[in-house]
Amino acid sequence: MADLELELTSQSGSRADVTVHGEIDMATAPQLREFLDGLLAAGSRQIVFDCRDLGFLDSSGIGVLVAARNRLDDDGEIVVDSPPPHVRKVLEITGVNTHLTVTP
Amino acid sequence: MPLVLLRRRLLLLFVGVVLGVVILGVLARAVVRARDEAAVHGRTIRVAREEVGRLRAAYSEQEDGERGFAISADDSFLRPYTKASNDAAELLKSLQSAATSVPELRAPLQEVAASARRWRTEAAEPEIALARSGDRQGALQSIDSGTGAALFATVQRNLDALDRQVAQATTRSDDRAATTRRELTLLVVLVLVVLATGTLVAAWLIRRWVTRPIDRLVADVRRVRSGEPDASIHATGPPEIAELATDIDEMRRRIEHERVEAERAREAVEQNAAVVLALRSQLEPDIGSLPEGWTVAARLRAAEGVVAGDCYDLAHLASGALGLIVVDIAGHGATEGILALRYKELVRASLAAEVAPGDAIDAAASQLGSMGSEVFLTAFVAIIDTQDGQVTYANAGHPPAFICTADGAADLEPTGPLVGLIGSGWDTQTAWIAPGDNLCAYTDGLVEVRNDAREFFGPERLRALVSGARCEAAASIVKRCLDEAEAFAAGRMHDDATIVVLCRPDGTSPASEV
Repeated sequence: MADLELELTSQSGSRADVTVHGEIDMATAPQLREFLDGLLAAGSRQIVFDCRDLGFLDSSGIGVLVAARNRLDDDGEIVVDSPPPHVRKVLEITGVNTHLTVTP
Repeated sequence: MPLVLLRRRLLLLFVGVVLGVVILGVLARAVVRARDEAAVHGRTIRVAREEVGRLRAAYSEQEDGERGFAISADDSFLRPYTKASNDAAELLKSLQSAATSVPELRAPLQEVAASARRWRTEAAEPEIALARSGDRQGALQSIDSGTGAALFATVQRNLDALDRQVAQATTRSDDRAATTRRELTLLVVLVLVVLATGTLVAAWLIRRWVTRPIDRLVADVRRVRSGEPDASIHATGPPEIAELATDIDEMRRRIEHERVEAERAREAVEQNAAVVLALRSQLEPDIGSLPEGWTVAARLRAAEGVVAGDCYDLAHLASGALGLIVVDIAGHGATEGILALRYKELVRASLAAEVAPGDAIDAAASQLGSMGSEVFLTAFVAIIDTQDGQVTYANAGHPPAFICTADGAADLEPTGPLVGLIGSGWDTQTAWIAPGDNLCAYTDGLVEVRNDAREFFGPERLRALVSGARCEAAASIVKRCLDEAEAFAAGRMHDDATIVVLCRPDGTSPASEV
């Protein structure tokens, strides 16, 4: 199983930019959860994941992302930016693409 | 002294031994010196005794010479007198030096010297002077007067007194020598006794402090080793050994604790295994025979060592139609497995009550309630009319099922989002299974497996395998799909994989005649 690297590239005000490398699956989902907990605790309300190098997103990862989104107010958002086609497909099939923000 | 460190005890023991040796050494030295002194003293006194004898002889010769000369005025008498005088003087000197170490001789010796001097000055020398001057008469008269004899008698008496003193000193010296000999013997005995006692005490203490606690420790450890893991190891003896025993006991306790834990874990696994088996048999229902020559084949391959999060069901509905439900819950715990089962049963109940698939998904979702902050499921629900091949379906965020036709595959795309976590609202849509076509529903675990190059197995490979499958081959196709996916992933199936293939006969197949 591949590892997951989450890099906080910038954090200003309530916005946090995160670059994702690797894969989000059952093994790495706890790492993502912990990371998001940290950002939410620090007051981030708009969390943008650069997913260019995200290799895989499974249901555990979707669960973590949606749960984090559910903890934010209406004006908060979790952005999945530039996901590779198969990740975008997974987000579309599960209908999560309307709940999270998928760009572009 | 239970709290004193062993090394301190041994140090004290060592100091005690050294102290004992030093004391014995000092004592021995004192005794030996006393013995040496007594020997020297004894020799001095023996010499003194002999010298007193010679002194007596010298005085006698002196007196004889003096008398002879006074009577005869013959110089040959005076020579022994002079010689004896010199001898006496020398002996006196020697005795005086002896008297420094034998002080009791000093006074009688002085008496002797003084009386001899008086005899010489008052009797001998005047008589010799008279004789030498030719006054022999005067000399004889002087002798006859008895003055010289009386004075010499005093010398003799004093010599006797000195003799007695020397004799007494000899006795005392002999006594002293005997005493020191006794002391020496006593000392040797004392040394032997102290050595023996010291050795015994040291052996006893070492046995008490070291040997016995270690023996006890060894016995305790042996008991544990020979299969009594509960036998505790007693902390006895000095702190170091007690500490060692405590550490060993702590180690034993931990190992025992871990053993018990491992035992419990093994039991838990065995018990859970029963749950897993029961759940799996529930997750994979036994599908009876289908009408009109339709065949169905389905299989669920659970990821290794976990409770399956997938489940499916195929039900004969009252309307005569078939109900197909495929559910995939995120998570692999027993809780999730049971939630998936409950959800499937709720959907099945709705379908039995002739509720449309989209509404059935909705109703089951609201009846199930929240599953947890991160838990959701996806579902594909369809009602298949075996008479005309109509499929009414709803897809809640589930990988699209597809219908393989002669012209290709038609995906049955999601009609609403996943169930749980986010909103609701699932449409029901319609599709058709023409004769000779088949419907394939599956879960993502089947297509999301990857090979060493990190490529996905993907729905296209699945479609290629399923398309054109004839009804009689449905079961083998299903098995082949799973086998191919597993081979593609080189056995790494991290998620449950489910596949259902429903096949409508094309009217020419032998199955249609059944």
